[in-house]
Amino acid sequence: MGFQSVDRRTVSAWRLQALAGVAVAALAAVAAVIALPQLAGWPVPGLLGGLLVVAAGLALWLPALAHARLRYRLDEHGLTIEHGILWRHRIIVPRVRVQHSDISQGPLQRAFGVTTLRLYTAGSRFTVNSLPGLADDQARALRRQLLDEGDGDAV
Amino acid sequence: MRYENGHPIPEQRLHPLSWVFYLSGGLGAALPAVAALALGAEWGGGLWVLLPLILIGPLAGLWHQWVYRYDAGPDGLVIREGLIFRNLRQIDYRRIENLDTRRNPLHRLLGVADVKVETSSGGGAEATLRVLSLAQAARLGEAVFARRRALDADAGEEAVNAPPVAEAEVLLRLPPGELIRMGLIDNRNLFWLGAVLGSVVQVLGVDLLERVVGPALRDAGLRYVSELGLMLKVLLVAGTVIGVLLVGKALSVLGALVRYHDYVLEQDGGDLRARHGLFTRHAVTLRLARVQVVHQLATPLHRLFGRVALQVDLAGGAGDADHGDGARPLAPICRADNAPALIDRALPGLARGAPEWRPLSARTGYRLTRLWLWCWALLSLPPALWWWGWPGLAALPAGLPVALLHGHLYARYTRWALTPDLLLFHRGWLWRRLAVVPRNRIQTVRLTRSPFDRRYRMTALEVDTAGGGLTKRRVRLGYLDRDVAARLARALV
Repeated sequence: MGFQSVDRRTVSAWRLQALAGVAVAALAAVAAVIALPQLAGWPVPGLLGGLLVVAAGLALWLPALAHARLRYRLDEHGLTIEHGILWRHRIIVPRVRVQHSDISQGPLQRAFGVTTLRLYTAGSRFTVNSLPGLADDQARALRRQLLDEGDGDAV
Repeated sequence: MRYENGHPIPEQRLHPLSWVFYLSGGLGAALPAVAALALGAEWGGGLWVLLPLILIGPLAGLWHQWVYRYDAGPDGLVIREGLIFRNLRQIDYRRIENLDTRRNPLHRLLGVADVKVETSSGGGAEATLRVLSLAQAARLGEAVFARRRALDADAGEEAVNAPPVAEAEVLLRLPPGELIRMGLIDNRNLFWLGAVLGSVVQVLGVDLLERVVGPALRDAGLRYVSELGLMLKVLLVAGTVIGVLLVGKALSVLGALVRYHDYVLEQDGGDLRARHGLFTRHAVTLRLARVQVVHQLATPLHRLFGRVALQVDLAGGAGDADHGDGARPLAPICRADNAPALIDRALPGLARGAPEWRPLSARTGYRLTRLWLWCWALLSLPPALWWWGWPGLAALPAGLPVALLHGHLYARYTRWALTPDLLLFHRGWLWRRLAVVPRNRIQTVRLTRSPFDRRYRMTALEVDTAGGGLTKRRVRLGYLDRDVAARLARALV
């Protein structure tokens, strides 16, 4: 079985989240410009506005890119997760090493019907390996496949 | 041991003199006041505040000793703390990894010891019994280890990979000669000494220097240090450096002699035990089942003496206060030709045979040379151009030999090998590190490609175990060819 992508709806969730951050920053910038009249000349608001436009653009673009780079594969050994835009990571979590797992969902994720699967190992540097952006039933099925078909010692 | 509603209630008490060891806490609290007094604050007025501060420690100690109970229960060590807020803790025998005892001179004077109970949960000792008499500590140790062995035997664990040894077998002894070598090799003191000396000179430097060196200079008919000849200046600087070196090395030797006095490493069944210390006696147990990675370090000075240092990463040792990075010394120093035997002892049943060493990617040397040249250019060109103008560009080729040498040697000395049981990784040419990871201890494998890696078609492979965790000690094989890294990752999990 080859690599699979996560649910497309997660892109919207990430975008909304990033845009919310940009909106907060924009509010702060507007408040600062109003509160400090000495900033009101053109260069500062212009620069801030430019930065915000760039940030908004990135907030729209990066989630799509991250989604394209995020993929996973379940095979007989365990789960492999690939992610990262500039630094590209591939994490291999053998199923016998999974100590316990979480399926978690924030309010925004719930609105879009996506969840994050987290696998905990007994390691020291990478104890939590998370796979975000799975559809609800996809995450449950993945966890079941991962845990049911593997047993044995862990440490 | 008595029972209440079927629950074990511990009955053993701490040593009656436990409160003595809480004195220091109170004294610490009183320190600011003492300092104020020493700086000339007037006696009287607010100084009665001192009294409760000094008493806090021993009173807390007395209270602790009064309410604290421990006992060896049927399944685990039971500890009760507190009277108003009660806490009953049970530590399963099979989970107890270590009973470490620590004795500083005061402990030894009073015939008592701190006993630390450690499990593999990380985050430091599970419980510290402060303090027990030696007889109590010995009885507790016997009870715990006897029951642990009985439980292990029931479960049939460990019988396979650690055949029971009738008597403790000594693996390593460090005579004073070795400790002196160890002190000579150790450079950590130098750093601190240099820093302290630097700041001292910075603070009282010029005046003091004038007063000390001044008369001698005036005899020579000079008024300022700057009038000295170049040769003398060089001599002065060299003398200072050599003096710092000598003092620093002497301190290191002294430190090694005190800390590792009478170092004995012995094997007792599935445990390695190390005992050492002149004033404070340390007794450390390394459970072999807990060993995750064995590290070997050889600095240039180590190689000069034909020695190496061995350390092990233990599962869950990351939060230990004494060994902040989770590493325990297996052998603070040992002969290079003894190291393989000791490593085999620390990883029983995992034969390494004759590993087939594999090099890094063929482009490693080129990439490292370029990296070093870039770093050199960024660091050296701005100041060089600032001072000398365009001729400063000549600084650029000056970095080339070092960059070439480093790239070439790093690529030559860094190599890895995969045996049926182990992953071995040699790294570096000046500071040479060897990491030996049993393949069955590997938790996850992570492949990373940075933008630079992608440019050179390389991949870095990092394995994660339950021990270690500090950046310096991670097992990360950088500069592997892309397909080699992918194959290795598939082989490892």
